[in-house]
Amino acid sequence: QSGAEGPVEVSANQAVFERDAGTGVYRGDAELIQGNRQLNADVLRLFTENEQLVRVEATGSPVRMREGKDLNAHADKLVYDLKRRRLILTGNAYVQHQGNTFEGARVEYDLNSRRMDASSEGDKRVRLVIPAANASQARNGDSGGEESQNGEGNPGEDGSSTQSPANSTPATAPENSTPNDAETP
Amino acid sequence: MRRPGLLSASGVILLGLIVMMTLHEWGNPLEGDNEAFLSAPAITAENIVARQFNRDSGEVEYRLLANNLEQYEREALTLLDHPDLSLNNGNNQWTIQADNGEVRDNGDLIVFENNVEAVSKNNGVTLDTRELHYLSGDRQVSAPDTVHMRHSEGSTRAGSMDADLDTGRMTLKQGVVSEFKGPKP
Repeated sequence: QSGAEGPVEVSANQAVFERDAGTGVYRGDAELIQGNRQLNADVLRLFTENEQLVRVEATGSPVRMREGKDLNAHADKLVYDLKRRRLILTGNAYVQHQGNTFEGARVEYDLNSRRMDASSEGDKRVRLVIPAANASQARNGDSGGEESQNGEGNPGEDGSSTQSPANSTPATAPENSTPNDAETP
Repeated sequence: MRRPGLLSASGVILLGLIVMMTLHEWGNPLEGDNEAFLSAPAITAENIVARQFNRDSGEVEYRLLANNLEQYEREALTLLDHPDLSLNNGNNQWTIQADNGEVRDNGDLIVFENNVEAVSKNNGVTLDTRELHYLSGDRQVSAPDTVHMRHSEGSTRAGSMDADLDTGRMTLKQGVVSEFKGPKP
């Protein structure tokens, strides 16, 4: 729990609210802050439901997100699903978490389990880099979480790679990754 | 021998001058009295209830209450003390209150000043500002200064605001900061 679940503050140069659609579009140096989580973008599109902020769609060149010292991410587009507590980065997605870096056409990051799903699209392949320090720490029997069986990231048939950073093992980009259609949120 | 024509011509001119001076003096009483007359309110009224009807549909567009009213002919201006305006547009009802108000352009523009509060019960929005303009013909509301809004999802502050009462579209400018309550677990 990163302590970043409190109120959300959003700021920008200007905003347009659409009452019937329940949306607010913030433009120009748009920034979202929630605890130690910070998101910077050109445009933030906010969706509310039952008097609650449920979803934020950020677009930028790129969108940048930080969470304390642990998480540093950027992408062309980032969707923050507050209800399912997930981040979905698409378009040159890059996530660095506790030293491990994930790159791909699309990276999904679960804020509860800290699990990362990176998937490829077209010629943009998945790239996982786990520094040796993290790797040896994992080998020394950190328990818990998902463990890769064969020392590789778990290449699914669709070329995605699933990794739980806490106990990651050295992995190379899956050779047999087949392009899959990135799911548009 | 003097030529009679000349005498009578100068006599006529002299007489004409005297008549014009008399008329001028008579038509314009002392300048001070005239200014006092024109700058005094043409009408004053207390505890007033005014309604404006839509030219096409005939329905009440707005109902305006005020402690008292002063109407000035020359400036085509009506001053209100503690105006209270109720706007009714189907699912979009607003009430606007302030310390002072001005009605201009034959009721098409109402300016609210000092401690202005606008409330939309069904939208769950309360807005506070220093000055608010209501253009009844265009059904637009605008605030040239800082606005503070409380809405069901949280609160928002901006440097200026324009809203279209029919479409429910609100544009906030000159810096926007919103705070949304944290997601419910």
